[in-house]
Amino acid sequence: MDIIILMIVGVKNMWIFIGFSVVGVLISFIFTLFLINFDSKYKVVLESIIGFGGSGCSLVGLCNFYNVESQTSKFIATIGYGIGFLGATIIFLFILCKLIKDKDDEDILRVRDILLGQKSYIEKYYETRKKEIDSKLNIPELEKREEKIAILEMKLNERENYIELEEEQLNNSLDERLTLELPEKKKILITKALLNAMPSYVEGIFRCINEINLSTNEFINSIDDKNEFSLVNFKSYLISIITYIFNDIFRTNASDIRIHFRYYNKEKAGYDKLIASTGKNVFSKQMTIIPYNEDSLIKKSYECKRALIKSINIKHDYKTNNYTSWKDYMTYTFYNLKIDDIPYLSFGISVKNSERYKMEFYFMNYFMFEDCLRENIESLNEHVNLKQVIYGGLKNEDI
Amino acid sequence: MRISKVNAFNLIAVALEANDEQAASKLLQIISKYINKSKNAVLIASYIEINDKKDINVIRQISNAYGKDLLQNEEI
Repeated sequence: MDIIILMIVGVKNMWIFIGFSVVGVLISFIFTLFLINFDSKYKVVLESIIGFGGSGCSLVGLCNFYNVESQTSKFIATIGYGIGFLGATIIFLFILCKLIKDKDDEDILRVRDILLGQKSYIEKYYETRKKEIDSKLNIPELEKREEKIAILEMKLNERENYIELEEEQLNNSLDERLTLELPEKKKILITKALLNAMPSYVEGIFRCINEINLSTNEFINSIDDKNEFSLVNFKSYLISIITYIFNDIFRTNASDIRIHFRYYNKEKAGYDKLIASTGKNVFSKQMTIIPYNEDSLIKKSYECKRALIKSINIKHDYKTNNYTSWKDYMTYTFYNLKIDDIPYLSFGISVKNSERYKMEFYFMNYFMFEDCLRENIESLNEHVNLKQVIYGGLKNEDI
Repeated sequence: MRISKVNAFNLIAVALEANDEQAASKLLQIISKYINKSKNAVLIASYIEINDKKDINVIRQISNAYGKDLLQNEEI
């Protein structure tokens, strides 16, 4: 073939033919890419005009550049360019059709579609892809789940509205009934059982207060006598308080109650065990440290200056490691005893059976039992520097 | 045996300080028992009257081990 062309047109014209065919192929490649994009009609027209115009200009430019002056050579160049362009366009179209057509659907893409600008194949392609992605993500299942969640959400919203309404009604009715108002802003309805139990609890609480008052005086007197007061003495004083609470208020030494005092541990930046007892035994285990910076009833009690019961102030509960064992507790922070502006002593009663001891908690809280503790500890603090007793050990001259 | 409540509680704390939790707990139970017994008294006493010999022995043992000086003025 080459020899025939060589004979007809000569060597120079053969190079012209090859060179312009290559240009045609390049232009055709760009043209095919534009064509297959399925842009709007006006864009295709515009691209075609620019493409053909550009091709014509480049043809003329190249002819001038390579000194193709004779009419025969120009004719060969145009023919070469045309053959290269048309041939390559057909080949590229077929290749691209093959590349982009769907593997599962042989008829999905035809050259005719591209030439006539039919976009249906793209839409079909998108649909197939969508189905494929949907099946991978299990969309129908997700949609079902979403429906279920939406229904549940609707039900929950309804329930929330209902509870809010009930709460409002309950508060309204509580306003009209007798209630114990406990910190923080909680109303406990006085039931017949609560009313019947009141005398015995009142008696126990007042006896306990008397015994604690007496114990404080005895400890203060013992300081005057011996002129020394150490952390051991302070702990023994706290044990006496714990014992009176067990005997007079809870009237049991069952191990399902733990009464404790915590102190602020500077190193751990939280409240650590100072002394604890479970009635029969001195509580020897370590207790979870309550961080000072976290929201807890110790912190809240310091802010509101009242003892707080967990079950009615649940949002300020700091969940310790054993929160499942100790179901409810009451906490009080001695707000006047501070070190570096942080209260350093707290008192707490934890119970394993919240139902069994809730009345004790309610009455202690209502009668402000914590005030008795505060007064007694502050009274002791007037005679000994408790801050030094706890943090530095007390020397004789500090008393 | 008559023992002041302050000394009794001090003895518990001393035993506890010596890490003898068992002794501290025993003492706590005895003291608690006698405080409970005296509940019906009109006046709250500043001392505990311990009658049971077994309890007295326990207190003596713990006192001898940890707090001899604590109970030196008590009527044992």
